[in-house]
Amino acid sequence: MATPLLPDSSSPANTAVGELLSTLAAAWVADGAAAGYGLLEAGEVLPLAGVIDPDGPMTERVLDMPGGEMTVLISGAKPGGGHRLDAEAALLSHAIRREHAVAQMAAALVDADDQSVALYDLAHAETAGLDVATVMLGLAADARRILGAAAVVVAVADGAIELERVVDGDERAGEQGGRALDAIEGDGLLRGRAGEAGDVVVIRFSRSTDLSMAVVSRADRRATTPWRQLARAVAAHGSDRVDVAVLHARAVEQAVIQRDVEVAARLAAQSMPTAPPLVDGLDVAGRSDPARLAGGDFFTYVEVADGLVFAVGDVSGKGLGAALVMTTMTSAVQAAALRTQGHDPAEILVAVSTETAAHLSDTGMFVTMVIGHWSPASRQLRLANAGHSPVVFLPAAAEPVEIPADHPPVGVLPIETAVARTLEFGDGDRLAMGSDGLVEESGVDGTQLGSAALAAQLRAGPAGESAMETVERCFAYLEEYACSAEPADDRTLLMVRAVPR
Amino acid sequence: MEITIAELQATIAVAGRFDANETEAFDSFVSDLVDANQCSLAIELSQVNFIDSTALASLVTLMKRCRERGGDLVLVDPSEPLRVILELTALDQAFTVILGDGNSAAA
Repeated sequence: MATPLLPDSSSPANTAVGELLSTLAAAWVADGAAAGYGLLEAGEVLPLAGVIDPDGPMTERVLDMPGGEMTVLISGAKPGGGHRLDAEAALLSHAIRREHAVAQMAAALVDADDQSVALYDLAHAETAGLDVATVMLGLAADARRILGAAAVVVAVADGAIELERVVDGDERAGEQGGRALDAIEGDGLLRGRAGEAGDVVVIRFSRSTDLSMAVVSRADRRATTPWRQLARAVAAHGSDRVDVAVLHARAVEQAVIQRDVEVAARLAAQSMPTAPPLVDGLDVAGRSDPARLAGGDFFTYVEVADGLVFAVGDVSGKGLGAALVMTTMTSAVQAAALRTQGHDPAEILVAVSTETAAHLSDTGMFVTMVIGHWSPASRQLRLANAGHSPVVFLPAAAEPVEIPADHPPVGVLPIETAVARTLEFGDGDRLAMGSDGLVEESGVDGTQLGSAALAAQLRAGPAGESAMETVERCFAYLEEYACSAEPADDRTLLMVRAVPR
Repeated sequence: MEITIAELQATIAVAGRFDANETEAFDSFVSDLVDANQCSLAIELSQVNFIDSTALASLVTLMKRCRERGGDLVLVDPSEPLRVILELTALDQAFTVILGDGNSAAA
């Protein structure tokens, strides 16, 4: 087998050289310039045209062609035949060099075009709505095209924990990139060794997530400084893209949690009554506004055989945790009231304490609570108070009286025996049971409203004001006092008022 | 070798706002003490200008843990606003409270 004319025999230019030389040689033979032409390759003669007579006169001409020198053997040359060969071979060589240049330019243009498309893709990539792994895969693919790399490895980490790693490109080059990512801390460059793809550039960015990128150059390409700068620019852009995707994913997760919280808050709020009980001789109204979506304040009523049981409470802490405990407490109060048929609030308090002690200890919370019972027959109110305030008795014709707590809150120590106070509760007498969020509300100058001011406000309404009107007026006053600032604590007020039967 | 501290009361002073933002640090600090068998604790509260229910719950939980282990939690010299809250909630009946004049206020 003859040695190829040019080092790369698959080049189209190469085929052309062979064909052109043969055509030219045929023309020279026809014009009588010589008997025949051949190429001398590694001691062998490859015929081009005419007849080569090994025994006749032979001339050799060395031609300077692209890809190396070529030796043409001329058999039976006539005078001047060699000059013509020289001149036309020079023209041929020139044409071939031009053809090479055009082919290289065309290849460079194709590469540049692909890079432009990749740059466009990188700049216009839509990240919102895509999961992080998809965005990373897109980044690795774009980076590989822009940089003309053998492989690109992209890894995303949260601190020391790597969350995801993706590879685009040649498998072995990808493994090389992965090894470089593991071996190099920070940014770096690893020159390719024998048997590997090219060089590896490692670039890292720390934003809300940590992005690492290893770019492996092709075996025939060194990682030059401009190329590394381009890689850094691509990685910087990619880091932004991944950041957006991560933030988007977090926002979605947050939205899901938020929706769950809203549902839980709504369910918790539903454990409180929406309408006042219809009890002959008693006007009742309650309102509870949580400071956040949900809160630990509560009030509840239970109609029992000989009257009405009501309770107001405040679970320590705020938010959903307090709200969850709050629902347990309202259930416990209702269950105890129904079980005992509720004429003795002290007995209900003991039952609630026993029922909920373990649960409250586990959660590390306590609950201040006042439980009342109203008897239409005796027109008496009985109250058991476990750490709750403010509880204000507003007699129709006397000064307000604070009803103090006789027991620490439920959940602090077991309440084994409890006491209840009895109030004579005739027409026009009122009882207000609030939560500390009412009296501790801060005004514009930072001072708290205080229990005296609350008591004054409770009495500020017109004679014969309904329980609901008092509640609404006090909440309106409180909002005004706090200058409509977001409430710092849950606000709850339950009013009961004795009315003629 | 095992080193134990017995019958020694550790005093911890808390100052400023004592609320939900502070309880996590407080809980983890005192938890380490109780875990190390230090279950007689005194909390000095004269410089506390505000306390919320989360912080009170934190003190209640700590008091229970100390008592379970045979010790106690003593509240020392609570500031005026804190004393008011302890009385309103009747928590002064649950805690051992030493007032500024050295007298126990426990019921």
